[in-house]
Amino acid sequence: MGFFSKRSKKQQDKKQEDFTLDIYKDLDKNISNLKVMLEEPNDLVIREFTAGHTDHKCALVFIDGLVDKNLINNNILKNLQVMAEWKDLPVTNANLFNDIKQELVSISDVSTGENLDDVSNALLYGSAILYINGVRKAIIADVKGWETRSIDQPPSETIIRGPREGFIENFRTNMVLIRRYIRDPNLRFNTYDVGRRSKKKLALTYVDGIIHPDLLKEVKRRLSSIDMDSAPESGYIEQWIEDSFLSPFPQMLNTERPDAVAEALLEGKFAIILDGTPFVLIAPATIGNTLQAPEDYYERWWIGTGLRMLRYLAAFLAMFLPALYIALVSYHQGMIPTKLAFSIAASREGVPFPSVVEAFLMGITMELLREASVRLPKAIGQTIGIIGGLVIGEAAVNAGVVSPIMVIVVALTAIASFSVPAYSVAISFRLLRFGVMLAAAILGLYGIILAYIMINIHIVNLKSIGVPYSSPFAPTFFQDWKDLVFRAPIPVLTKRPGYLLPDDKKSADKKGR
Amino acid sequence: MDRFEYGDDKITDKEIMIAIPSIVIGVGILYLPRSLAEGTLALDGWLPLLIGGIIVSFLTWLTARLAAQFPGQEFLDYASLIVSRPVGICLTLLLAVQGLLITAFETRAIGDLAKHYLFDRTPIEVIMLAFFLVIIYAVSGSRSGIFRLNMLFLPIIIFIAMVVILFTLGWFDKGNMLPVFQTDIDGYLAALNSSIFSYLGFGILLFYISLVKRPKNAPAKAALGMMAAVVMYLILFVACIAVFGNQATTNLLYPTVELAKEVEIPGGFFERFESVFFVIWIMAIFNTTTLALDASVFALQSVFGKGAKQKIILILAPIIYLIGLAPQDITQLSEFGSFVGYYGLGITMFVTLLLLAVAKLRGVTKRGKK
Amino acid sequence: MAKSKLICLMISSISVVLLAGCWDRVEIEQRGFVLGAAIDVAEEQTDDELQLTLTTQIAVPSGFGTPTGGGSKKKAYMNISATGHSLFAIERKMAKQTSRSPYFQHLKMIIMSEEVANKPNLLSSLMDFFIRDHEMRRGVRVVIMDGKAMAALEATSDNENIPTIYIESMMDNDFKNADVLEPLRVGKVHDFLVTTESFVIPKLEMEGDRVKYQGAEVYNGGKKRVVGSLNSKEIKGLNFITGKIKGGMIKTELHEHLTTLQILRVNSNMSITSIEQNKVNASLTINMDGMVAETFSSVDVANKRNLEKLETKAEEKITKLVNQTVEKMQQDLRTDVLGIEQLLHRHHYDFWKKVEKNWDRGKNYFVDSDINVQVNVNIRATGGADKTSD
Repeated sequence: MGFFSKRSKKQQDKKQEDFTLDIYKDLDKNISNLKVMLEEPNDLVIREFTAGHTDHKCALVFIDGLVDKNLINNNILKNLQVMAEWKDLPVTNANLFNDIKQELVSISDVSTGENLDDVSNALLYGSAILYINGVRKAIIADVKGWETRSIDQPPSETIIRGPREGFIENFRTNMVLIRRYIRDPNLRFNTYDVGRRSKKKLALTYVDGIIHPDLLKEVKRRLSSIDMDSAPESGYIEQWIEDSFLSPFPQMLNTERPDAVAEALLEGKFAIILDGTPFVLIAPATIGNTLQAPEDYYERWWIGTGLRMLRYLAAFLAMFLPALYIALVSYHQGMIPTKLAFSIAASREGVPFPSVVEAFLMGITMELLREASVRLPKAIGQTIGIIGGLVIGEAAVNAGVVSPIMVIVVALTAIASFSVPAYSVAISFRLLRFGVMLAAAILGLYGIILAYIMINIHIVNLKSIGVPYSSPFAPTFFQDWKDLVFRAPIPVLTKRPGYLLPDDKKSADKKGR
Repeated sequence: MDRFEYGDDKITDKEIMIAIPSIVIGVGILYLPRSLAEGTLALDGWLPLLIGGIIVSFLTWLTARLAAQFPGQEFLDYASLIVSRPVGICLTLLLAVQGLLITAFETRAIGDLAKHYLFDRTPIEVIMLAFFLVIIYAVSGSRSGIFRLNMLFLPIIIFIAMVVILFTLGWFDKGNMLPVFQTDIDGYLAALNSSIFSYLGFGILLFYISLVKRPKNAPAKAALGMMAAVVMYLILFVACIAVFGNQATTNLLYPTVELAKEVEIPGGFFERFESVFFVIWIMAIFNTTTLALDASVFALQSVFGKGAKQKIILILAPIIYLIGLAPQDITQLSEFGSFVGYYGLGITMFVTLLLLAVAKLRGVTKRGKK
Repeated sequence: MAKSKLICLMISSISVVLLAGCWDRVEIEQRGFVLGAAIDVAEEQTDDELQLTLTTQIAVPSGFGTPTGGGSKKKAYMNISATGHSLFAIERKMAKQTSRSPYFQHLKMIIMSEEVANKPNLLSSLMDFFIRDHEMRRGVRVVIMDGKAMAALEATSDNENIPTIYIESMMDNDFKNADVLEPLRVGKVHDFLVTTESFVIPKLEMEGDRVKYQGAEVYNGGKKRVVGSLNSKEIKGLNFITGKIKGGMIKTELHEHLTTLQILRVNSNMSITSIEQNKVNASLTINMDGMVAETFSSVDVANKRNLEKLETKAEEKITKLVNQTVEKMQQDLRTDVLGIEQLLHRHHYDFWKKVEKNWDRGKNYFVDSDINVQVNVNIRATGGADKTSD
């Protein structure tokens, strides 16, 4: 019960008798109103004082821990108590309010609260509220200051060459990080408050003049449709606004790297920053994007191209290798080179399970290991690695439960799936892998190709904020192929991706070279 | 906006150019070298194959031109304009039957092929069903999605065909191509017959051109796409003859797949390339089948209403599957195949020529009657 | 729409899973990989139909030993024989004898005994089994065995533990010698059989426990059986005619000392010069590049005069070889494996049409045809030393 629910509009009327949303002339009434509304939490600090030597009663309200106390002490309290002496404060309440706001509160971001809703929202977001007796308004001073993590290397996306900074949980800092990459006056941050209760700040970032207006209109429509209690992480936003929530493929990418976001913005995409999470969403995403990494552009193009191709291979292996093993070993033994066939047959001699069961056993063990090592503290994580290595490697083979070749296949698959740069994509590849394995177990190679076709059917029907997921493969934009499987040299990449229909098509001019 | 500008159900003439080889290249080429070699001597079959290709390319151009005269209008719309609505509906239904027959034939053929090359004891019904369900899944998706699938798969298909050619070059025996032009006229005619009917399926243009935004170039692009298929057929036919010789080609059930059997991947990474080839070729057959079925569904939608897509598919699916199961053996299947060929080409040409002629006579243009 | 699509998808995937029972799934260790097949005429003939014995060599993978475990003492193969009058019937019979059903996709070699090849029509009907079945590759080798075919499957070697693999790799050494045929593939046999052309089949011989790859049998397309055999010299001549020599040597003499030429490249070209009535005149040009491999003489082989002399000697030698082969073909075997029929078919189609039934069969016009041989030997190199002794 309580007044917790007061911000939900429905219940607001019911509780109206306990307090009102207006701000009164009477200071005490204002304060008690606020107290009732928040049910007097113990981190609520209320400092009542008189301004200078006058009789003007004032009250400064803030929440301990959300504000920078030094700022309050030096720039508000001290000014009002000490500086007010040299200044003749006017007698009329209207002028008094303006004078205090204009001249005595030395805080850069100051606004006026007209009702209790404004006041409580600001208060809970780290502002200090100054009530003055006899004035039906309150001064809201932004003195936010809480403990934050310092900018650090993003743990989920480490690269060898490139900037070492990553986003943090602080919304403003994240915006700043992006601004530092793009100093274009056309860089826009449209902020939204999301969450009925959490009221989190969310910024839609894009570069005006590059992004296609329809794209922007659509994402704004979707963002404004968000209506849920809270959005603890950008994953909530992603899942709320993505095109198909049934698809195993992520239709938005997330990153901790400001350079990746800046790159995407300049391609004509948009990014969504949510307060409280270092993961920034980038959309529209296509299947090709999921296999790109910022590092591709930092190294020379031969290396970039090589890495890309390696990743395509990795994606293929992660999805199809165990299935191919099952198909070849249980159905099409003729396709294995004779001598290899003999050695596989010899190694499977005595293994009691068909290859499907073997592959599922090992596949699930692998996933368990991965999951366990993510959840456990680092110190124990290593132990898990050693135990897992023993279980998968030596013991299982020696016990005759699995064949050594299967171990190689599973290990290769795991390594391949970890080389896919986007973690969310790697997971969906791994999930699909089990489906393909099942298909291979039932119909061999024929099953694999049918599964492959089905995945393709799904991909071509999938869209990311209206942009076909399979572009620029199909619908075909040949010009974009320069930066897809290959990565052409930087001076050749003079155009922004055509599939995003950017307003400003050119991103570079070779004439300048 | 629900969709991005190009993400809607419109397609480009480029996609028409891709769709034509996609529907033409299917099961046909796998046994075509045999039927061509039967009547002709040595390599002589290339001539009827090329002539047939040119004729069919012209017919393709003609069909596309008819449809392109009425941009943005569906077949039923302009057919109604030209020959009144009831007749238009009749023609639509007749054309829709073509797609259903092709679907049934290809599904059955894939069953037989897979049974021949991949499976031993798996019942053909299951093989067909698995494939058919994938087709249904594709067709129940968006129409532009099917064109995108064509675009995704066609390069892979061409690539695998080129790999086969490349790796069989070592077995090429120039002598197999001799003697030149010793076939009698009956042989040429028989080969021309089987060549023309192997380029089946361009009837879908009558429907799909209506989705093209600016169809002015579509006829030329469609004909170009058909030429691409012709070139592919020619190359594969020449390769079959050069590797096996005329007589052996005549004796092989699916010479093109047998051609892949000759491939030996250097390094011995894997063997029995024909399985890989056939498996990849399933994509080609898939392309053919989805386009054919989707064109039929599209045709029926124009008669029964846009919203009825899922219902139409649900009703058609068991019928097609049963038709596919009907042929009892390989002879009946090939009879069924040639019936599909005759019917398909016949109905497409009949409709195209009829509409072109009547439109000319009555002076119908896209704005209605003059 | 999305919902019904999803339901469609779910129903379809579930039904596929339920319907399918993995009919064709046989694990790799349950397969009996047949590597070689030997066909003999059975020793006991019961009824009127000819009884054949098929011996298959099935690999026993565990006999290979694992890299870590070292080689085990187990044999890496087992030979199974069964008798019947069709190969298909025998194959099914064989499945009763072993726990692992015979699996032919890795078949490397078909070995027939001479006796089998000699029976009219038998070879072509046997080959049918290997061509028709989709399990078979077209690269399977066909050889004839001198004596019992199954003996070859027991041949031993020091570095290969499966006889078939041993024989196969031995046959791959054909580039070292000019007097063996290149291995014959079953796909090629198919081509020959459908065109009813005559061809030669390579032959194996036992020598103690080992197998030797030498000799050949000539198959007449008209009589549909093997009509005779060729010895090494005749094969060498034949190889010169067809130009299918990848290496080997020619023994000649220089100043009455033995000198051996290594064959670097042979290029032969046969063409039909004229056709009078039913007599075909063909001319054959053979160009050979060689180098001096060894000489017992002490003269300077780099000397131009000596070289020319050597070339002339070699030309004479080759001409003699070729003529011997032609004579054997025409007079003795009366079978055209020289490729004249192919030439007629390709370049003189009308004439070929006329004589098709009577070329190396029936009236046998082949015997009357005349082949004019022209040999050019060109010595490209003389080895590292001009002289090694004085």
